[in-house]
Amino acid sequence: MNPGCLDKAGIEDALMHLAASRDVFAPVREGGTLEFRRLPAGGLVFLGPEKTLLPLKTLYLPMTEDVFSRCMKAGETGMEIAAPMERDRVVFGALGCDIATLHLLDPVLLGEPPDEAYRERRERTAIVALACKGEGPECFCSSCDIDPACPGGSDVVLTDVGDAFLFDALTEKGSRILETLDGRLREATDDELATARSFDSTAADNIPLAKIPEDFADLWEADLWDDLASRCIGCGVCTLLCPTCYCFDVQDEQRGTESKRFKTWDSCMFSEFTRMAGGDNPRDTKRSRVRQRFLHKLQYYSSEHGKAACVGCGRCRVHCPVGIGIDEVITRLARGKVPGEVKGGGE
Amino acid sequence: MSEHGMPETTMEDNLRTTAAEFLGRTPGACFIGYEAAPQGGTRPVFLRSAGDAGRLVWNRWCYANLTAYLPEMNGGEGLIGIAVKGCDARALRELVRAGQIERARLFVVGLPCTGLSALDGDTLAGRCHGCMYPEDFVYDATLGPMETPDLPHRADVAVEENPAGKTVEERRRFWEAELDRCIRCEACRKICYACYCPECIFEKTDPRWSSRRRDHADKFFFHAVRAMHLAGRCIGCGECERACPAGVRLMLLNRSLQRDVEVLFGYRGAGVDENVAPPLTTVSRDDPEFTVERTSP
Amino acid sequence: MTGEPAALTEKTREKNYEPKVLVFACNWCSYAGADMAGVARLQMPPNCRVIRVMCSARVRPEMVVAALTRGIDAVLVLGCHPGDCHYVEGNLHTRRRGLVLGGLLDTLGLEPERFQLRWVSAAEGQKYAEVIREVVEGVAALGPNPLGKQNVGTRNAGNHDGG
Repeated sequence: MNPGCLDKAGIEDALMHLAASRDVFAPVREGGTLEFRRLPAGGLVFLGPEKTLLPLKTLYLPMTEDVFSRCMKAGETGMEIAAPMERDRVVFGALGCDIATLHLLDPVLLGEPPDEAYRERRERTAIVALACKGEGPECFCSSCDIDPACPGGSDVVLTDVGDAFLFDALTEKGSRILETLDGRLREATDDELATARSFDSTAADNIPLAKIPEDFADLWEADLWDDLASRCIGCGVCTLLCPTCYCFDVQDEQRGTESKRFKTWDSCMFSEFTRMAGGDNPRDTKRSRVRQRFLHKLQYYSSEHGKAACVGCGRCRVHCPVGIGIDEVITRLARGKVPGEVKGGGE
Repeated sequence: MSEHGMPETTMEDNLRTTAAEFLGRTPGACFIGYEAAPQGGTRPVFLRSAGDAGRLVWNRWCYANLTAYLPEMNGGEGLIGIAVKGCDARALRELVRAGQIERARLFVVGLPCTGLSALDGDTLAGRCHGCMYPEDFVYDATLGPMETPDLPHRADVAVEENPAGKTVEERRRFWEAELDRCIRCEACRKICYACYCPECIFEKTDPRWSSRRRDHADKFFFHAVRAMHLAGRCIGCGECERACPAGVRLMLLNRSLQRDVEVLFGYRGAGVDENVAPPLTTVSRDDPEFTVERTSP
Repeated sequence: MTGEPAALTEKTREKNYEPKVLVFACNWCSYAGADMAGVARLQMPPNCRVIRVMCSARVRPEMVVAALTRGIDAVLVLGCHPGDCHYVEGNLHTRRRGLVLGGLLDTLGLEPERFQLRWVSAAEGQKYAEVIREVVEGVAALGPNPLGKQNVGTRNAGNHDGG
């Protein structure tokens, strides 16, 4: 028996049906940007090979997340710990690059002690991936050991086979999702199955991640950092859109009679990132921050966890206002082992 | 090809020659210009040797305002060559008179821009409406006459350009929705030529004026305060909007403020007239009186 | 300051809303005027918190915006009449800044009554009381400042899952 299939016309209805028993997230186009939103949301659901602006990680490590709030009004003083998740969740339309990042975040956020909020979201969220061919000019997921056509770490894989989506459950969690949709799925035709099987990645697979020198001492003084730093404006857009970045700050803020403590995404590209009480700042030059970002992603992380912290989504390259992309950096780092090699180079 | 069968030199060729000559005769100098970006379009490039001048390009996709790099280089050594469009030259004038870079260190090459392409097509970029070159600006070299081109006037587009709405309530809802997209990356601030404070108010932690709480009040504070700090200094280059990954229409706000200073104080624009001080650095006894009655935007 | 309650319209009575108004008063003129109003026991609503500054020009736009985004319903900046500033031109700077800030807040959709600039001299205790009454009543009728609402626009913020 062939896997189940759902005609595209019935998708929104199916999603709303699922939403009765759990929180459903899907990419929604609103005001010109594509973002994961909880349904129902204003704007159209879009299931296609287009990356959301903010990566999937936003649903596991939110941009801003309350820890607790305190009220200081007379007669109402008290403290409220942030509420835990209410319902299980399912995310539709996640792409291979984004899903792969969860395996890069797990060693950090599920280490000892684990980030409880992240852990709960990981356990209680099912992922319905969308098979993708990595067709964007910026895509190089295939260079990062990711198969966008069959993303690892998903519970169900959807494949666009024309007028319908093929549903393929890969895990127990995934089968349960399909059970909830039982009656709405029909058996896929042989043609549809063939279309699904022919999905192949066209993402660039020649970005030489593996050729980056293992000893960062070789790269510490490279002219590459000066070259990048002169162009970089330190905006941090790369880090905020990067699926594998996880740095956050904890801040307290008072408004009127209420104050909140919250976690909020931070960026190593901000000049105040390493500023300490007293004003000392070990990374107070742009060059040192640019170097740190790339060495962290491509070397420090991989020395500790075995894989570079990059999934080849290319968001940094697309959105950098001055045209810096990690693919270019990887290529230049991999080319030479001696400092000064990249002087004047620009390809 | 000209009738003699020799390729005509383009403006781009002249730019490369000019930059190469400058770098060749000035050891220790750098030249800031545009190069082709691998992903299409252009990006800034810092050249340090004459042999690299071939990387320079000049076309309708040269968006960056390269003068934004100068304040950081202030107080350093070596001459700096820089390619500037008309709008960028206005920024340069503002930076020099604010003491943010010494004119004597600069070798300014004027690019006679007649308008950039919109990011998504061949039409004129929105930022180029109301183009105004600086008056009586002294360039060290130009690739052609540096004169304001005949492009649609700001006034013509300003009137239709009020998606925010005619009532206060409509505008409130518009900006609540528009700023909801903002992710508080502050790329708009980092790319702006006028944001050169060594310690920006948004970087201060003691006191902390602005958290990254990312709710509407937080975003309102950031954008309102930044707009105020730019009042009378914005040159309308539109780089803030281009840098924004979320497509927040910041130029609506900046242009609204520019219209205000024009109406209130007769100020034509930052960097246009050498003899007119930026409006928020001076006062006049003849300023209008403050009132809660507002004229519609 | 002795008080009578702020004028309560139907709307505000329901919401049990008492506006919080922040007043910046310059040391030489308007703070002295406020003092005179107090000494003369003029009736004024108790909704104001007064901050004394040496000159109205000390007030930076970010102070006004910070107040308005952190629970204050209206900000009132008081200074000497133009021409009478103790520091000669300070209040002219305040006026310029106030004009631009007022326009910006209006563009962003904040009711104009929530940011005001007035001139009150040291001898104008009566005027001070009138200004306070007028501003507080006007703001009370508007209702609470929408910017002070917590967690508006928290799609990306707050206790959640980012959706």
